[in-house]
Amino acid sequence: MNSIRSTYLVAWREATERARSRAYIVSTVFTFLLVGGLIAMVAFIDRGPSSYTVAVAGATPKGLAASIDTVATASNVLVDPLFYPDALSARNAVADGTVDAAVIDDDTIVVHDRGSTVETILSTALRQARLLARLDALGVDPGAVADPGTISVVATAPPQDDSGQGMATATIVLLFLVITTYGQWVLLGVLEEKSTHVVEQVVSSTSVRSLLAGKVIGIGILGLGQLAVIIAGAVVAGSVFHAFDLPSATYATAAWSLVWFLLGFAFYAVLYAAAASLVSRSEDAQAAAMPVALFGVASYLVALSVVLPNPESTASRLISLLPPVAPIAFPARIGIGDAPVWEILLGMVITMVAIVIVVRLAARIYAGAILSGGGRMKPLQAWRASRELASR
Amino acid sequence: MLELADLAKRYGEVVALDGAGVVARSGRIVGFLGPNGAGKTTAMRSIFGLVALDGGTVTWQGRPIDAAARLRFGYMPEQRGLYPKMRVAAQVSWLGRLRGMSKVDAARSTTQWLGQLGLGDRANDRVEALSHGNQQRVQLAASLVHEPDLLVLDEPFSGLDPIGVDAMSDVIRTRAEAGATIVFSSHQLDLVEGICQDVVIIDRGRVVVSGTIDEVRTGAPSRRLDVVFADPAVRWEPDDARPLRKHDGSHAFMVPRDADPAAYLSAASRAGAVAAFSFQPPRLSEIFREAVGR
Repeated sequence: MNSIRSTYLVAWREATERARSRAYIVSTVFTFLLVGGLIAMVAFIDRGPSSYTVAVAGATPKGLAASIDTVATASNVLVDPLFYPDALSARNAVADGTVDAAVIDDDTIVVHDRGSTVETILSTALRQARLLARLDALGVDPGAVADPGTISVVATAPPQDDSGQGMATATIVLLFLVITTYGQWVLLGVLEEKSTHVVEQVVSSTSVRSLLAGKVIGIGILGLGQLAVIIAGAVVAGSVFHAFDLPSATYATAAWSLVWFLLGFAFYAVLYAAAASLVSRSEDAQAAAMPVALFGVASYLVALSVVLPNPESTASRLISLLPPVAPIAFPARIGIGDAPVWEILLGMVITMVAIVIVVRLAARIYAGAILSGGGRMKPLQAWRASRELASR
Repeated sequence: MLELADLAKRYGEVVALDGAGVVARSGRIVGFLGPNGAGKTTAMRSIFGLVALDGGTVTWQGRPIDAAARLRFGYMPEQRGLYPKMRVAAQVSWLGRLRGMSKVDAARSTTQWLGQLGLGDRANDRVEALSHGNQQRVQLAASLVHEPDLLVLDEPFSGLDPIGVDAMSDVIRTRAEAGATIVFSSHQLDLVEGICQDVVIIDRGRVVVSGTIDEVRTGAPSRRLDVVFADPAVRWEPDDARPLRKHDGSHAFMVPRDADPAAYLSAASRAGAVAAFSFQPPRLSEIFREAVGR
């Protein structure tokens, strides 16, 4: 019971001290603004279909409004017709910019500048309306001509959900960044305790295991909080600015990302802690953590270059089961929408088993090294030293 | 009662502890002395399980020390360590809670100790903003916040100015009067003599002298002979003496314990008029130098 209390106190200290630190507040606000801003920017650049207002005056052909609508829809623009009482007022409205163009009678199109999109749309629509009027005059049913029946389109490539792919990419990048960032916090936190010797003071009143567990849990909670804020920011900004139609898997991906963050963080953070415990000076820390960092980057690149393009291939399915890759690959596959539940659960079980192994391994290296003075220790030395300190 | 017995520890080829033992009783202050590298710090760390001993036993109240017992200990490590960015009061009370205090008790005790150590107005400063001496006071507060039954201080006086030394001495005495067991190491031997009741001197991992200050002094193999001649020009040296110093007619020697003081006085009188004469047990610093042979 006592070790649970001290683990809690260590975690509480980590979380509250760091949450108040400028680094955490700035990075949370900055990332939140960055994600929200990016989405707003995308929404601003890609505002969807352009829209035009068109004046209609005089004796225009009967089906003109319907024709304009058909042609505009086909060109992916919105055209809004406004009826003017006479040709002059319609012409003036174009001249002063109240409307983008005007159709007068059945033979005149007024535009501000020649060669615009709206000119093409209106001339096509007017021609079509005149054609239908003439057919009508010849006694042909215009409805039968206007609706030539359905046409089926067959695509040779399988259908692709682009927004799912985009979300999967974003998920991989985000999870890699957050896991690595908070893993580095653990690295620096352990180093700080060792280099300032505060570890002696703390461990004299608790155990190295409680200190390690509390540190990883405390920093993990901060990472989880920041990730949740970022995801919430992205989902809210996305729906406010209509930047993208939220793919159906959005909420599932968001929830799964948090779960997989915890697994990925647990896996990497204890390795970072073990690496940091081996050194006493900050100059040595990054070198000691290099193998862990490389592992992370390699997993990230594999997830981006192998799993993402072909999520359903056998290679992708096998690779994403590997514990270092799983935490960033599975949320992406869930985002794309191809991961069966049994595979997700299998990936989680494998990762959790790996975490148990890694925690035991790393905790032992940490226990053997954290109290040693002097220079850089080798993992094997620390492993041997820890046998003697087993009681702690 | 704290009892360290037959401690053994090697670091590769270096022998840190080679059978040393220390006994510290409730309400008493034990000075733990020895040259650099004698094994003092290793022995102190073993009380907190911070070092894996090759042999020996460490017991508190007759039982091996476990995590629960350690919560009643206070420790000031040789390498001082505090979280540099954490605020003083938050840090001290957090350490109090880590040793089992409630939040309220820890906060109250922190305020009291910081006040007593003259840090009341620095409670909300970051530790890194404090001077070295003040950080040392915070360190002491951190080891005292839970009013421990055993206080282990590794070189508590190093780096303190005379006012700091007095404050530290007062705290140590007060805690001992309250019934706590106190062990501290130091190189300032005259200071140790003034504060401690018991003393243990170790060298190369072994105990070379131990006992109460009085026992150690009276039991020392030598006596200190001080002779002051009225005429500073007088030169005199008995055969069986080891000269300590000679200055303006004042002579100090170490002589065998069983020597006859009257014989020295009459011999000195033959050399010149004696203005002052004393034959006493040696001081702790002299015992220390003789014991470690350096």
